[in-house]
Amino acid sequence: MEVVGTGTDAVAYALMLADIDVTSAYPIRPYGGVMQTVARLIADGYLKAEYIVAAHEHDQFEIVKHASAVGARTFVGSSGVGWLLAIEAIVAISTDRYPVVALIGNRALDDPPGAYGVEHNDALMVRDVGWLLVWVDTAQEALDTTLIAYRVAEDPRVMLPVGISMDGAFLTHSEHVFKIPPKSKVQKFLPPYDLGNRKLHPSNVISVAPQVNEDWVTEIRKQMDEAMKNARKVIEEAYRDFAKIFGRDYGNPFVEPYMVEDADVVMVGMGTVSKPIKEAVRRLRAKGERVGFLRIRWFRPFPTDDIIRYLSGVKVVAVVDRDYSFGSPFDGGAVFTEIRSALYEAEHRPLMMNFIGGLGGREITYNDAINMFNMALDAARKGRVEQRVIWYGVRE
Amino acid sequence: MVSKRNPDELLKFIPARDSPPYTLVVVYGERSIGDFWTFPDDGTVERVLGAIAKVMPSILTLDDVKRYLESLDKPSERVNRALEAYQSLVKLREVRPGEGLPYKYEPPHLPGWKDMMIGGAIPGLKPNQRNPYFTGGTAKHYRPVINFDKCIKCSLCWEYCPDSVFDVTPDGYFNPALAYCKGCGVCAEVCPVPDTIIMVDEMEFEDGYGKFIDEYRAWKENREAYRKWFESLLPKAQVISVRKR
Amino acid sequence: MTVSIKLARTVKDLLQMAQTEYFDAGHRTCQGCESAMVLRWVAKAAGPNTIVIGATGCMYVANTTYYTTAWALPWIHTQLSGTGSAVVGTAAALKALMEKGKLPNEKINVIGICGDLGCADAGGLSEVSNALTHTKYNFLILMYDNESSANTDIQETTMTPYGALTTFSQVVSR
Repeated sequence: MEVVGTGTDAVAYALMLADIDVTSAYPIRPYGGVMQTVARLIADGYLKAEYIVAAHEHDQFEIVKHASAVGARTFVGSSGVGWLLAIEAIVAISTDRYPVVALIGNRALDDPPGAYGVEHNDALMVRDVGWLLVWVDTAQEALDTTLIAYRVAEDPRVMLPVGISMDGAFLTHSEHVFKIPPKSKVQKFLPPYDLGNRKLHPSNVISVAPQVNEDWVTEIRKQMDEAMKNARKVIEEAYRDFAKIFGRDYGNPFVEPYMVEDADVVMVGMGTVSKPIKEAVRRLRAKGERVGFLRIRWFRPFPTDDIIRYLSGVKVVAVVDRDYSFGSPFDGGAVFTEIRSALYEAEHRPLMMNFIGGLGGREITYNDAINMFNMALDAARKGRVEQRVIWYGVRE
Repeated sequence: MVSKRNPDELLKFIPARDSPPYTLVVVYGERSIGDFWTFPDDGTVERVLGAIAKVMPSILTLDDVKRYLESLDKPSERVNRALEAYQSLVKLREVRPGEGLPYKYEPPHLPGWKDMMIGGAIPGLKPNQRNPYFTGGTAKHYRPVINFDKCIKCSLCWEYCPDSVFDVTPDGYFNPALAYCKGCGVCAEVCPVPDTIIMVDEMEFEDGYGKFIDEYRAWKENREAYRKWFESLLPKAQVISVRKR
Repeated sequence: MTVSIKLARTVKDLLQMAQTEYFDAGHRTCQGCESAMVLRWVAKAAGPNTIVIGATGCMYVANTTYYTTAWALPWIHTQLSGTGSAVVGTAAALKALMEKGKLPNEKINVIGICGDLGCADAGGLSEVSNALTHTKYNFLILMYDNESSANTDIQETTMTPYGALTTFSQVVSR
C-alpha cells in the first residue's frame, strides 16, 4: 500500500507491522510526531500495545527497559536534550543488553533552547556505550530500517539497542510517498522477540544486574564488544533477507555510494544532507567533474572496511558534519574524525577536508553543496588542503 | 589487632601462612569497628596510632601522632589514649611460617566472558536455597547458642532473623545454620524464654575457620553433654534471652 | 515451564507458605539488618509468582553481589530514581504479553523496592508519582524510609528529620 506521510509516520507504521507490545511517550520536538501517530494507530485498532505516558525522558526509557526485560518488544524515542536527560537509563539499556529500538529526531542541544533544527550531537552522545546507531534519509528508508533494527537488535548474537536517527524537520516533518508492506512479509522477516534464558518471569528465576565489582566488569564489557562486532555480520544478513522478502535492495547496508566510481572528490555525510549533495554531483558530473557522494547509514558499528573501499583511492574526501566535537584531534566534526581514523591504515590515504555546516537546522542548499565541491576540487587540483576544517557559512 | 587476648590465644584463630614470617601486634582494648563509617569515637583509632608509633617509629613517630591528635577536638583525651597504648598496651609476637590455624584458602574459579550470561544476568536461587557462594558467617563476633531443652517452639527467632539462618527441624525446633549467621543477636533479644538463646563470644569456639558445629544435632546426640556445655557457656554470654546480663 | 499458583486455603497452608524462603541467607547486609528482615517477609507474603525490582541502594548492593544472589524470585536492578518507571514497564509488559497470548494468563506480583534516594529524592518521587497515575497496571512500590542515605555512608536526604546527625550535617566540632 502506498501512502503519503512524514518520516515519523513511516516509523509509526513500521511499529504497527512489528507488532510492538509496549511503548512510552513524552513530548519533545521533532521526534514527537511518531508517538502521535502511534496513538492514532492504537485508537483505530491497527496496533495493540501498552502506550504509557511518562513523567520525563528518564522515566520513559526506564519503562521500556523493564518492559523489554519481561519479553515485550518495545519502542521509545526522544530528541536533543530529552535524549540527554534519559542518558542514565539509555546506558543501562545497552549494558543490560535489551534490544530496545529508539527514534532520535535529531535536534540541536540546549542552551540556548528552542533550536528545533537538526544537529547530530544528541545521538552521537551515545556512540561509545553500546548503542547501534543508524541514520536514515527518506521516509521509506525510515520504515524499512525500523524493521531491520528490530531484527538486528533482537538477534541473539547482538542483543543491543538500536538508535534510528532522523534529521529533525527535514525528515521528521516532511511528507514523502512510501510503501507499507503487507504484514505477512514482515512476519517472514522478523521472528518473535525471544530473550531466551534472560526473560524475567517467575518461571525463569534470574537476578539481573546485581552489584558488581572489578572482578567482572571487564568481562561484561568484553561481551558487549563482541556483540557489537557480531552486529556487522547480522546487519548484512538482515539487509540480504530484506531484499529477498520485500524486493527492495539497499545494496551495501552500511553506506550508500553515489557515483563514487572513478571519483576524484567524494563528499561524505549522514542523513538528509544527501539531497542537495546528490543534485550537485549530478550537475557537476554533467560538466565532466569526477565527483561522488558517500552517505553513511550505520555509524555504530562503524563501517571501516567500506570507508576504506570507497575512499582510499580518492584524491580528496570532504566530510560534511552536522555536528561538532570541540577540541577533537583536528577541531573538526565527529564523522570527520572517525573517517580520518578509519583511513589511517588504508593503502592510499586521501586528502581530507571537513565542512561543519547546517547546525541548528540551517539548511545546506544545492548552491552550498556546489561551493563545497568547488573548494574540494580546488584542493584536488593543487594536491593540498589549505584549510582543513571549514565552518561553512559562518558569519564573520 | 585490637583485642583483650594474648597473641598466642589469637593465633589459634588466624590462618597459617606459608611465608614470610611476620609480627603480630596486639593493642589491648575492646574490639571495635571504629573508623568504619559508623565511627564510634571510642579511642580505638588513637590507640592504634600510638601502637604504630611504638612499633614502627620509622613510619610515624609519637610526636607526629601527638601533633595530629592535638589538631582535633578533645585533644588531651585523645593524646592520653595514644600515650597509653604507646607505653603499656602493645604486645608483639613473631609468627613463623606455618604457625596458626591450619586452613588453606582456595581462590574461587571465575568464569570467562564466554561462559557468563550476557547483560549482567545470573541464575537465581531455588526456594529455600541459601546462597551457595556467599555465606558471611565468618564475620560474626558472637554466636547464638540454643538451649533446646527450654525452647517452647514459638518461632520468634526464626521469624525475626534477617539472615534466614534458622532451619526448622522435623520436631519443630529452630536450628541455626551458623555458616550464615552474622551474630547480630536479634534472636536472643526476641526469645521470650529466660536463658534459652545466648550470644557467646565467637572466640570461645574452635570449630575451625568456616566450619561450624550443628547445635541441634549435638543436642540430639547427647542431651546431657549438650546441657553441661551450654551451662559452661552461660556465664560467658554477652546477651541472654529475657534476663539481661 | 509455567508456575501454577497455589492458593492458601487453610491455616496450615499459610504456615507452609510462610516457611518457604524466597529471599534467603547469603546476602551482605550488616548484622541485624532490619531492611533485610522486611524484604524476607515481603518475599514470603508475595510468594513465588512475583517479580522484584530493586532500586540502587543497600537493598540492591548488599543483597546481590554479581555472580551470586540471595533471591529465589526473578529480580532486576533499576536505576536510582527508576522504581516507579520500572514497575510500570514490567506490569505493562506483562499485561500486553498476556493479552496478546504471548505469556500464560496469570497473576504476577510486581514489587518495586526503593529507599530514601530512590523514592523521595533523585527524581525518584516524580517517577513514583507518575506510576501512581497508571491505575490500570498492577504493582506495589515499597518505600523504605531510612531517614538517611544509608548505603552511601548515612548522608542527609529529604527524608531526614530536622536535627538528625548525618555525615552531611555541618556540625561544629569544636
